[in-house]
Amino acid sequence: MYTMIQAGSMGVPFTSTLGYAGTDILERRPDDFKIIENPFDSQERTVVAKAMNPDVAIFHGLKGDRLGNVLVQKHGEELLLAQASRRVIVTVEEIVNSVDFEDSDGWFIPAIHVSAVVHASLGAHPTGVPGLYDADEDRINEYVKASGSDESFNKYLNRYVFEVGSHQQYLELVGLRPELEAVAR
Amino acid sequence: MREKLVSVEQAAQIVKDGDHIVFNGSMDWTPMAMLRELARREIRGITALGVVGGAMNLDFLLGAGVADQVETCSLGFDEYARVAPNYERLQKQGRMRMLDNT
Repeated sequence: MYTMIQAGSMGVPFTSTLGYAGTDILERRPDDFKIIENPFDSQERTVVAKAMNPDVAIFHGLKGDRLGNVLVQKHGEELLLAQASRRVIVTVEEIVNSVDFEDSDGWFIPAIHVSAVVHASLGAHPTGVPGLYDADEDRINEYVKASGSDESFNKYLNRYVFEVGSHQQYLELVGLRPELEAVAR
Repeated sequence: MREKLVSVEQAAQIVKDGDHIVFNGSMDWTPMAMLRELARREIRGITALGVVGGAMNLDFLLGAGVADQVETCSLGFDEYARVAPNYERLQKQGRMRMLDNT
């Protein structure tokens, strides 16, 4: 899929790859992967992967500005996903006047690849954001336990999703106050 | 230049029933505030893609009934579970579709 997304990000219809050769994915997904002759060398064959352009990409980042420039985690796939997707939503820990592309806290994604920026302090909770806050292990263990049956997970959803009207109310429910977290760091 | 700063509720309107939504592969940085809003809006028929791999992002959308199909190469849950737990339950019960794609 990575190569399909790469092709999608470049705006080309497919890309050539050595991956998948010898796997059964080629047989199971003939609409997405094919083996073709190298147009530059008739002695060679190569796997080609069809371009993929997802409708939406959603991820959480560090900072954003009103124009849609964002700073996301280093060493992630976010830029590639944003380039390949038709619409891109990025939630961020803080809104700043202007995201600086030389900011070394993270990697820069220019506004041209972003459809919507959302301010969501602690927006990854109960998962963590390395350097800002740890994963909430107790709440993740609660999620895992609840996932054992439809009934218990529906209870979990009622408590943490349907009975809270907004992200702010969610943070109050789990006892987090973003303004204090911001001061603490 | 167009103003792109919107509320979580406004951003959720960008997502339509049946969309393919792509996520990164880590447990950290999961965009949970946004995913909870998609569940609140009762978005349905989503295919959730994990590049590379998936975790709570794909698992939460499955558990909330937002996604009924996932496409990824692995669906773990860090040290918290051997396999993403909603995925494990729904897959065993044949209530969702998983496409293997690295």
